[in-house]
Amino acid sequence: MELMSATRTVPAAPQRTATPPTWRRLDWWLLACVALLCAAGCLLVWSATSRREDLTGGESSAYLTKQVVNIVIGVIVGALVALTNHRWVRIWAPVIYVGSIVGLALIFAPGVGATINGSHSWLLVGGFSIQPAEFAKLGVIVGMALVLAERAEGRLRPHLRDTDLIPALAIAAVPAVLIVAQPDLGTLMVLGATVFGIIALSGARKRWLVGLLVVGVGAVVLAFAVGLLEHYQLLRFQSFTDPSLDPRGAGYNTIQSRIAIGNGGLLGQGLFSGSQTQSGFVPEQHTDFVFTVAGEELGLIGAGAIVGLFALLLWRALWIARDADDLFGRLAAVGVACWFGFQAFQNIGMCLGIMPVTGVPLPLVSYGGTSMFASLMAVGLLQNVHLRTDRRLGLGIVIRSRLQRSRF
Amino acid sequence: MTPSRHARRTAFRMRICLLAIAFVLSLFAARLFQLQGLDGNAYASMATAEGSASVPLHASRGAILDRFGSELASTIDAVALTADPMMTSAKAPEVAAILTRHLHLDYFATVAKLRRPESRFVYLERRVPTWRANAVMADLEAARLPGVFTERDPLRTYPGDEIAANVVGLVGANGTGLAGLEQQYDEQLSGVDGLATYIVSPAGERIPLADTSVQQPQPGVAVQTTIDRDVQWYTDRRLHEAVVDTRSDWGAVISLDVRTGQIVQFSQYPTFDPNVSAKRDIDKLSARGVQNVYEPGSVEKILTFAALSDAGKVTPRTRMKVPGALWIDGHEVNDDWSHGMIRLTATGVLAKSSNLGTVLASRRLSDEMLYDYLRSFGLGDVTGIGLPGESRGLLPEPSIWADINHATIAFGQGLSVTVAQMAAAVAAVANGGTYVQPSLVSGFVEADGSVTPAPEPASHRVVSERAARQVSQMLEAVILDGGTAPLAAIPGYRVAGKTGTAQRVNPESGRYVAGQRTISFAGFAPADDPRFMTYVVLDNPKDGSFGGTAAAPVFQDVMSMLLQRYAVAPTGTKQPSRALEW
Repeated sequence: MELMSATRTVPAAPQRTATPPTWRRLDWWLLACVALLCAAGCLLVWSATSRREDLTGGESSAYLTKQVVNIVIGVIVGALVALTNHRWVRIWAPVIYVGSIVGLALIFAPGVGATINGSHSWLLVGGFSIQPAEFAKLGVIVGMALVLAERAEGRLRPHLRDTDLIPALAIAAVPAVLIVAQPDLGTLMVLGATVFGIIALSGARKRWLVGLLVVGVGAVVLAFAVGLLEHYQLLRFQSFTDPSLDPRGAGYNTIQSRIAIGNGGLLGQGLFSGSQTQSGFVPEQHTDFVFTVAGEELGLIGAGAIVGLFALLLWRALWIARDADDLFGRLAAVGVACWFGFQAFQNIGMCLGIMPVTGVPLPLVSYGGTSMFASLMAVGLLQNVHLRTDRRLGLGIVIRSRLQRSRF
Repeated sequence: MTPSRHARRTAFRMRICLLAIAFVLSLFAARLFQLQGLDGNAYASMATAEGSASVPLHASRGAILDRFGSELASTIDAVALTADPMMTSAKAPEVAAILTRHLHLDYFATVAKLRRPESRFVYLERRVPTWRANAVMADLEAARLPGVFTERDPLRTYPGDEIAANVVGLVGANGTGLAGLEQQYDEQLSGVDGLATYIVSPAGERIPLADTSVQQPQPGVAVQTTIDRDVQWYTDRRLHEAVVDTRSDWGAVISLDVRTGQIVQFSQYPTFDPNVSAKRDIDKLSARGVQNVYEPGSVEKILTFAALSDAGKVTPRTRMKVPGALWIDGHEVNDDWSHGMIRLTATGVLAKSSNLGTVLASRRLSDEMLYDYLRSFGLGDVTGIGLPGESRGLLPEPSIWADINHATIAFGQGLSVTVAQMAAAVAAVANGGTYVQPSLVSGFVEADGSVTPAPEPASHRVVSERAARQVSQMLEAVILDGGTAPLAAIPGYRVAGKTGTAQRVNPESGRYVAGQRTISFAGFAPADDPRFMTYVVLDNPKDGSFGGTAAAPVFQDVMSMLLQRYAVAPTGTKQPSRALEW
């Protein structure tokens, strides 16, 4: 705790009096992106499920309702995160981290874990199914940011030493091992990219980055060589290279999603009227393959708009990271940006057939409670970091310059 | 490391990060544009193909009708029972039990079909009558066993069983004609299949109320034949009896309306029941009446004398001295009864079927003239009656004729004919010397009931009316006492005809076989105003029968029925008596 005193160099009183109300200081570009993506997600999920009576049980808007409820809960939680005092965020960070580790571990406890689509990654609690791995991403981000920030900020010249990186990597390793055990390859890849991003933008030396890359690639090669990968995962990778290898089996998703997107053309076939979507040719279309609904029903323009919204979102997230006053805020924002960016890349890439099929949802768009809560909490975290950054005229510049100096 | 270096490094990495994002997003944009903009049409058609299934709508095959519209072949609604093994494999024994209860199916084979791995479609049984399929489906539904389906699968039936089977033919399992008229008119009969394209779910189920395009099938056209089902039925039985009695290899009887060339019946034996697939074999399936060739023997003398008469070389009274034997090119030619020098009129030569007299008379014609007359009578060429696989017969070119060829061809040996050819030729004499192409099909009945008549049969004059009448008179003598076929006489009617008892060539060796004959009788009535001709052929009888003893009675029965059925009044004229000898 004494280390944290370093961050209290900013006088609280002048800031409070000089700043406009909180709602005006929010990053509205970011919020608009998030709102549009969530709204688009609702429509796409609705369209993908409205005729799937096997899923909805006859009520065409069942999934729409659930998704709206997910978003409302997520917005409340996210708002709490955004408006919590940054100090409290740092206090809560270990709680989130430990909580997600406990959740991941509980999956392996008999009676509460569940296997869905080949992945043992679900907790069934009181009729709800929760994916602890989603929270684990958030947990790892805040955990690593916290550890690195605590280490760096205690020093006179607060830059990271090599020894600082080891506990940070240890923070990431624990959930990573649990995720491998599930196994949830997609989430592991997202986690890896996020960790890499945080380490890279923490200012670590190049050799660390190279080392991380080597270890990552080595792990993949080893997994293939030792046969650690499940059979279906191997098939997915093979069919990624050649979907026609098994068009009704492993390559089915790839081919069907490509057909659906291609069928959209420039303007799309219109919501609720995509032939492939409405007939349910694309598996998991409301969750992992939700982008194909956009591709078919909204066409190049709609799908392009979603890609564009993600671009805006990532740009805002990185901007918030750049402007962040403290290392914790910067690394947390970078972590969220890497998470969203890589997961969106993986998901959209898979739908477009330029990435192998790995079951990760499209952040903020795909159907799914846990994913939505975690994503909106992450957005809240971004806003929190943004709110903490006072970069308005006059006083702000002075404060920042002082802070900057004190940081680096 | 200075702080500024550290900060620069971080800022640089931030820029790299932004650059990576920009790169990835550009990649997405390019890929989206490729999929949706450039390859869009290809994927759209793939999407259509993925989501649709086509079902052929079978056009119902046109009927084959007799001359009065009775069905010789017809199509009734039936269904094929199909199964989706993915749905049935779990409960295959139960499903099979119900199926075998209603249908003649092998239980174990059916279970195997219901469990066929990696298949979503098998035929369990084709052409099941609708009522029976309904019973099966009702039982399956009651037992809550899904996975068995029906699809329309019309069934071809032949209400008359064996009646005119060799003419009508049959269709194969795939619905195309394999023989007879079914084969010849397959295109018209089968119509054009339609196609229904449904939007289907990924599981292959048809989506109700979704877009469906249906191309309606065009039903086949019915073929109206000239066959009289009743006469055909009678003749079939009569021929069957004759072939069995004489222990012949095969037999055929054809009757023509001599004025129109229409074939009223065309009976052949052995035959087959097209409804019973097990009994079909190629030997029975063939339309022998147009496919088998044989040497016609003395029936051919009708044509020789018509030619002689037309050329003005003989009249019925022409007197001829007929020796007991003739040596021609080193071959001895005899009559089939021994005699010394006898004096016969031309009528007598025909009535007694003297080969020697015919040879002597035919010498009044050159090789070319005889050949041209025979060609004009239709020998050596197909008749075109509308049956597949018709043979031309064999009429050697006169350029290679020696004297012996001229001689034997004149009395019907050394050339081969088909039943249809010979019947048409004799009918030309009956028709006052005008050859009318024989026909089996009179028209086509469209689905809406409109009739398109078949093309008018070609006709041409072969011999003069006078020559035809003279030959007709000579042929009447054949039926009289002293002629070769008194058994062909029909009380009250004047009948003209000619027997044939030809030496038979063994198809394998190509040589005449001693004691093997092809016996026949061709005749028409009433002789002075011919309405029908009937030609009877029995090949290789083994009971020593001759044309006059075995073929003539068949002629007599069939012709009697024709005359009565078509209410042909006796002409009431008196048969002129002709001297056979002088």
